[in-house]
Amino acid sequence: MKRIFVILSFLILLFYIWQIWKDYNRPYLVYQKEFKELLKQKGGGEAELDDVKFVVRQRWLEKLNRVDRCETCHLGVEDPRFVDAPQPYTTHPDADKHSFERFGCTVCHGGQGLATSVEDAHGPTEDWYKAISSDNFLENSCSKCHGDFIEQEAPVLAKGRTMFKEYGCRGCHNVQGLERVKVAPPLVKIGEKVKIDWLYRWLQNPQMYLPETKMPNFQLTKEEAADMTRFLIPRVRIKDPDNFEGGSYARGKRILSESRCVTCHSFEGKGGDIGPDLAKVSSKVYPEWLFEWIKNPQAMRPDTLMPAYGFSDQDIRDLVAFIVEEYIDLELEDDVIQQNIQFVESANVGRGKELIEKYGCTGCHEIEGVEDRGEIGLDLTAIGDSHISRMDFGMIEVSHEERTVPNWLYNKMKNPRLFKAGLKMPDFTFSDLEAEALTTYLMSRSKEVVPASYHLHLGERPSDYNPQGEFGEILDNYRCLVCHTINGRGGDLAPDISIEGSRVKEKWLKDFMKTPYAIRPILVERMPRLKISDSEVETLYSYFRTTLVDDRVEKLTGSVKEMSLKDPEVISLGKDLYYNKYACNACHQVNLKGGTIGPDLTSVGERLRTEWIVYYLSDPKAFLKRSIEPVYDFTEKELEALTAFLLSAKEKK
Amino acid sequence: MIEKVKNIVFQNRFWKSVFRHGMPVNARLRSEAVMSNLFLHIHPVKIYKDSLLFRKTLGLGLISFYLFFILCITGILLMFYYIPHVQRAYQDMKDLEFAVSFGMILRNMHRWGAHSMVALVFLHMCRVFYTAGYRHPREFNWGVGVILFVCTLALSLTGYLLPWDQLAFWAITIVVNLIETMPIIGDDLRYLVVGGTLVGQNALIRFYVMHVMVLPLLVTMLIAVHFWRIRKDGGLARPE
Repeated sequence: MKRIFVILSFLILLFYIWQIWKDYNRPYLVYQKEFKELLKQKGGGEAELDDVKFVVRQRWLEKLNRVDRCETCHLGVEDPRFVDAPQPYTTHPDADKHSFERFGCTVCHGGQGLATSVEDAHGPTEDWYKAISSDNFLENSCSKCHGDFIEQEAPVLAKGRTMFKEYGCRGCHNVQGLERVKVAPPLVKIGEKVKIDWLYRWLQNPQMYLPETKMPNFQLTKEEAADMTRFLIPRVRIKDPDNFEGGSYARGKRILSESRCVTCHSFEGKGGDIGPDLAKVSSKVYPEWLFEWIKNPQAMRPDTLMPAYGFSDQDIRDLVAFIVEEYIDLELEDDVIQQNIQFVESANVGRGKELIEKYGCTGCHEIEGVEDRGEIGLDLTAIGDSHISRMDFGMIEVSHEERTVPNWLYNKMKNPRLFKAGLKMPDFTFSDLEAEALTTYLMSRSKEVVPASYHLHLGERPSDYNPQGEFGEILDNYRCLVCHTINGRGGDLAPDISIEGSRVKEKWLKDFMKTPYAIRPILVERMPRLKISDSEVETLYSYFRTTLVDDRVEKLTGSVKEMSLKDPEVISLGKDLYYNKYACNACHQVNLKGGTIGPDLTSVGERLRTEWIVYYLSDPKAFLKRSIEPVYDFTEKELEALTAFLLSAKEKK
Repeated sequence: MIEKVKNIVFQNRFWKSVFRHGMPVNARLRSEAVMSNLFLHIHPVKIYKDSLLFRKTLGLGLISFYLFFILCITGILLMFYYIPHVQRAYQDMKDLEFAVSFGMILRNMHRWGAHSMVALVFLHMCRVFYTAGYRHPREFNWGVGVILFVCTLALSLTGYLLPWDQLAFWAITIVVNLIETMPIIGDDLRYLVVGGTLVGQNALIRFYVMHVMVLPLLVTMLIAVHFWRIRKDGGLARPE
């Protein structure tokens, strides 16, 4: 008994000593000693060295309700001398914009700010919900303060946001504050549009027909694909495609190239990516449908990007004849098609409907006879706040360090049915970068609210410019805003026309709309030749001239009148400036002579208003920030001379 | 010389007002010394040699008492660091873990002490039961013991919520949902315990007050009664 007592007392003494040692020998001491050495090497003064005390350093961010002790080890974050020092002493690259006094560390980087050991601070650890964000997903925190539209500063996050919208994720997943929009074509009269055999092949593997499609691969079996096809197209059409009253192949070919369909559609790998690739389109759609579609695409699908060209019926017939003959799938064999059709005909309609309900097709498509059950997937409103214990890695062995929420999401994006067989989420065949972007966006979906004083919205909110009336109708009809931008809304394929009324002359615009050409010599001609009527051009111009103007240009009218632009002496001075002093011809052409970087300036006086030329020359970047024209700071005299010369530079016939 | 010092120390008014009798040199003075001391008089005047043997009681009751004592000391120290607020409570756990000197051993002593106390109190009851210690004349003390056991469990439960982590939150959610299933008073009792409909700030402060104030006071009082009754009922581990 006494012996046990002695042994126990001794053990307790050892325990006390161990506890005191443990309390003294904190894990951060190693780093602080090393930092002191490093500081000595970098030439830190006596006082500075004395300042490095062996203690826990923390920032208390009262407004963010955080305490960050990261600087206990990361001692050099604010010291520019440590730029090339190894971690954990490296200088923070962005310390001037995000001061630690105000932001700390964890609000952007994640991790456990309160911890003072590496494993606990960086994570993943069981008793903290968020491990430190790896660099790939770091941008997920930006939106807390900077809003959702940061394209410049957080491109990965912005890409993820766009992808989330475009791939129709919202169809199956609820996210508060985002509207549920059916992003894919309605399938209401799909039987009149596509061939049954095509739909069957498409459902099995959409990427096979159209590699860049956003339609995911549901990894359906042949039977499942046939059942779904059978449900979507209940009556098989027996109509022979040859019944379509065709037109002239040669004329169709000419119309296709004149109308510059290639601006949006690609044919055998060449062309734009706004519309789908049409290389094999005749194996997909019926000619009758194609005829109706080209005649008025917007009637069939109001949200299409395709303009209503205004072709005559004969034009369309020729076009269709050309397309049907030219763009066929050469690898497709007739007997295979017949086999497929027969297989689909014997499929089960009821099961097809069940499958369509099961996979939530109605999240993206409008489908007749199927009830939309709403979002069938997980609510993603606060997916970024998830605790790692909620993420089920299934039977896959994942090491402790890799058990993080972003890692789970990333792998889910890459292979949605990885963690469990029989899940419903389809495979979008995302690349690594795309999966990273989406993961970053998902991680940004958080319920954490930072105080209003921290908000600094970057980037531009999408413009709600939406003209009504006659002009709005024209704009809508020809889908001008797919390529052009007006007041912040629209595409970036073609020039911004927000102040077009101050820029171009009436006659030039009217001619251009009839026969568009490329103003820059090296550009491919892209503006489609629309069948736009004179009265419509009239409306366009009057809207441009009254609304899409800039007062800075309009107020120049007075001073332009006082310029002596017709004076031959002034013109020759301008010519001298153009060719010698400023060598404008290095970039611009006049009568096919000169560089090809800038727009052609032959007869520029017929295209641009004189006020605009003066305005643009005085500050090229005022209108277009990305303009690469040098800012020369011309004197009044030089401005006058150059303008006069440009107005005189007519086409030599 | 020694006599002189003795006189100075013992023969003054102060000493005599604290200890009213002289040196316990004979049996009478010894018993007087015990009788006039709050802490000693809980013990019996005489103890049978047999009952001091370790194998008679296994010391379970006293170990439980010592654990309670340790828990009080560590608990008071923890109260210097702990703030019962939903936004602070878990942070304070982290502070104890990472920043407070001896914080981790302090918290671990409190935690493991609490776990052991539940076990030892239970074992103590088993010992008493199997040695028939609950029979006449100790029925009342057995009753006090049972209440003490319930208080121990209550202390354990109320302390469980205080770290305010997921484990705590869900454990208490389950417990209060169990309370809800009680007939007639279930709903109201749950509302009373939680201070609302969800386990939140109100529940936290209620559990905290119970844990650091109400229950320890009750237990202290009951322990005094328990010990007092051991003496009055004829001493430790002795048959009638």
